[in-house]
Amino acid sequence: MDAQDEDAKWMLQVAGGDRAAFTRLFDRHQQRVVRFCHRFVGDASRAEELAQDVFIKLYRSASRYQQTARFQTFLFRVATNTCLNELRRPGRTIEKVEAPVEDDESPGALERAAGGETPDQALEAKDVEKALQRALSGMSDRERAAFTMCRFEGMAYRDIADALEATEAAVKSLIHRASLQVLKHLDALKAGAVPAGSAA
Amino acid sequence: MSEFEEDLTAYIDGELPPERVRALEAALERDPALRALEQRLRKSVDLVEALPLPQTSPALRRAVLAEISKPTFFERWFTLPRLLPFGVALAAGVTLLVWPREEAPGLDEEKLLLAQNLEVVEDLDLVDLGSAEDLDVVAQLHELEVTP
Repeated sequence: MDAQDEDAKWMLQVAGGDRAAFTRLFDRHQQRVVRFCHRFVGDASRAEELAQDVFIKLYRSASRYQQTARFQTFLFRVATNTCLNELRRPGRTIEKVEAPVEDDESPGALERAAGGETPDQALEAKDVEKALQRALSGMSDRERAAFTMCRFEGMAYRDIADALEATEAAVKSLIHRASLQVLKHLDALKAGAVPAGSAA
Repeated sequence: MSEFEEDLTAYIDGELPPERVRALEAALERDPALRALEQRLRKSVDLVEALPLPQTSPALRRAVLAEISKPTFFERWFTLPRLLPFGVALAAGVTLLVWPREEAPGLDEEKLLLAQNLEVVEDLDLVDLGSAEDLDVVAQLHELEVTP
């Protein structure tokens, strides 16, 4: 039995009131949900609160789960809706990355001391993270959701389309536009500038 | 930019149908700008996917499992100890409604009339008028009276 089938079986057990089955599902998927929420709202502590909401909703809506839907799709649909509802609440927005790229001592700080590396190789994880956060905060909600599911959760376009209730062609377009935004911010990082229209 | 630009990310993600892959690869051969963009996109995907993953705290697990262990509103309110007093009160009410009541001693109309006219009856007894004919005579007494 593959993991997807096992998830579906556990979910049906949860619908029957089996809390141990829910614990197994939680342990298997909690990292993914927290990661998704983190990328979606841009804040680690809010991400944990949202992940908590996602799993509680999942538990309480287990009776509505139908085995025809892939569990992963069902889970990420709940996660996406929870994050979107959070961002629609008054005063709640995606965490903007305000610190400009130039807050490092110089653009050269992005390059490692060891010679021979291209600027791409020289980018450090924290800088990539910063550029990514800036790009994510400039994306539309659907672009951000699709990009996050694809890039960080490794989901197929078809599953993302199911989770977002969109067509595969729309998902392909959303992910491409999001990827171009990330590229733009990484290029700006290398150039030591913040691109126009960025959140920062 | 080329008509194939929209396909680049799907191509990198391995999501492009085979016939489209062939067309795109031919375009990449022909178009250096498209090829450069494809390489930059591929590098950016590699950089982003190599980022360290955030870790979850044990508090999340505790919080979620504690929350689902809490009884729901239904479970909290519809328990035997809470329902018992309501059940007892309801049973008592129903019992009172359906319990066969002993009929209060009723006064039928005939007895009531007798009671109201007890004085007359005693008088009739006194003169020993017992039959219906005697009572008729009494009722017609005025006809026997002779007017002067």
